[in-house]
Amino acid sequence: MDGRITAALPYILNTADGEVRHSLEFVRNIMSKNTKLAAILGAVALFFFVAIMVIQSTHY
Amino acid sequence: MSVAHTEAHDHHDHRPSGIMRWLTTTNHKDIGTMYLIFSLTMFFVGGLMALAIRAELFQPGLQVVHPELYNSMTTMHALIMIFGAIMPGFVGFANWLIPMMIGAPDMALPRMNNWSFWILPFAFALLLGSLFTVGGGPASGWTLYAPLSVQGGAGVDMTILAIHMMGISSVLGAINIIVTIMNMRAPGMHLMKLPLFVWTWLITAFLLIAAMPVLAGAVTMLLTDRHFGTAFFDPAGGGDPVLFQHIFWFFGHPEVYILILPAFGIVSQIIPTFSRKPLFGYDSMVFATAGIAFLSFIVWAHHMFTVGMPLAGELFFMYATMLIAVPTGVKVFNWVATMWRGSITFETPMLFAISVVFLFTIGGLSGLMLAIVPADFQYHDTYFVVAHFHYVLFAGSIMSMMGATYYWLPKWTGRMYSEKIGKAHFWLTVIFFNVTFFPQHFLGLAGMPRRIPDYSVQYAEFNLISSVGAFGLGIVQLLMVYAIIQCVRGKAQKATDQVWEGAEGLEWTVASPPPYHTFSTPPTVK
Repeated sequence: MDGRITAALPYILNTADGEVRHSLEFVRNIMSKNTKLAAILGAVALFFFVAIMVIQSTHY
Repeated sequence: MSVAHTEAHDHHDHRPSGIMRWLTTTNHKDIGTMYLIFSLTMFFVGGLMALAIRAELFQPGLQVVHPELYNSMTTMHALIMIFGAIMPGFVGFANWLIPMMIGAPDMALPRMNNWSFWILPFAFALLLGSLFTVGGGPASGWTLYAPLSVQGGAGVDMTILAIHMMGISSVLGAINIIVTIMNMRAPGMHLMKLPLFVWTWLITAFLLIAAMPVLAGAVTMLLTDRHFGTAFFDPAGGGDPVLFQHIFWFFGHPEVYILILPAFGIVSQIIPTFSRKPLFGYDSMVFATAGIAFLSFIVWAHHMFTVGMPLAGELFFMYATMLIAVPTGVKVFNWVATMWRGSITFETPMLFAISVVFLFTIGGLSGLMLAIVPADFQYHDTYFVVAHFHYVLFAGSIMSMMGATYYWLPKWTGRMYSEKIGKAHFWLTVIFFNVTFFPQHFLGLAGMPRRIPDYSVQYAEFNLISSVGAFGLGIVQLLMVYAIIQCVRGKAQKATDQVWEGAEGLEWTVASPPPYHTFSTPPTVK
């Protein structure tokens, strides 16, 4: 597993003591999936933002 | 739904303290709390502006505010209530409840969650700050129609930047909600087992991702028209002000459903609990929500029938708008059918939920009247429209959030609010709401235009009644604040973990108040 992700995990669960708990297994499994889906959704939003301006720029 | 696991307090219930807890928190409950406090604060700020408007309209003539400031008040009241009170309010409920309802330990992207919230205070500082610039705040109405918004002072630029920031916050929040629901559900929590509040938020989040960037595009073009020599909305340069209206309402109509779908979700949680029956027609509720969301993208021009459009366009947008009554009717039917032969009790959340069904339906029916093209030519930009959307947004969105507050507050704080205060708040709110807004239907039908600080004497009586109602409506909201403070400070009676006899769902399986971290071991839903 990516070292940076391992380091970030305690923050994800907001455990100030940084203790790695059994639940981290659960988070680790879904973490990369989360980032991917968030990136896709962000790209879709950005696309709408640009598209509306490009369409209007070329039609006015 | 049965659950194989019950969350208990564990020794990890550790939290940072002091101001840094709130600045740096990644905990969904903390962030939800901050959203809700922010929303309540903005509700009162926007409410004070509404009272300035109603004070001015108390009697004919100009008496309280300067007409330019009056225009700013109507503009800011709407922007603050929509983007500052309702949307952050629902995001606050989403933050608190979605992870607990689906059995997730937190939101999927907790640090982004923190950022989504902390953008908002700065955005609203900018928006409110615009009131103090030379030329005053934006005064073109919340729709920011060109060419009026092209002509405003620096306050308009601050508003545009504030809208960009609110948009970024909303889109990030929406992404977080979608990812959480799609990826973080507990084992066994299939999509068609999701609580309705989660479903409505999932669909709302998709609406946000599709609609908010369009608003961002519109105001960016406005900004370039103002400062960078473009002429998107200026006929002198080959542009068209109507283009702005099309783009704005392509965002604006889905926005209406962004503001109401989570309210439908809340009502769908509360009514089964106090009817002691499962929700009638769960599947049809989900499909109706999706149907409403789809239709919301093909009805935008019903807001602009009077600009002049081809007959075919008028007919299309009229019929498409009327079509929305079908899935909405399915929902109202299902809520009533859920109550049918249920063991109903009328605690405060149930009273609010029933009033939402009743009053929102009045708003929906006046919306149908506005959808009829020839009728809309008469009603357009009159107080009839103002009455219509307050029945939707106050009686629908805001009163659903009031019901939700009373419903989940005992779970969040571990204290049961005073039912006496809750019921007093409910009845006074319903009475004053109707005193304020029902006469506005008559004012509109009689031809009183909206967004004016003075009016003909023939409108005096109904305006007086409406203003008295508005002040009453504002003051009685302090009852809710008192009830909340009693619970938060631990002065009220202790609540049980189950809280409500008929409540079902994972959030009721944890302690009241819930531990700082819930479901760090995922529950299994059977």
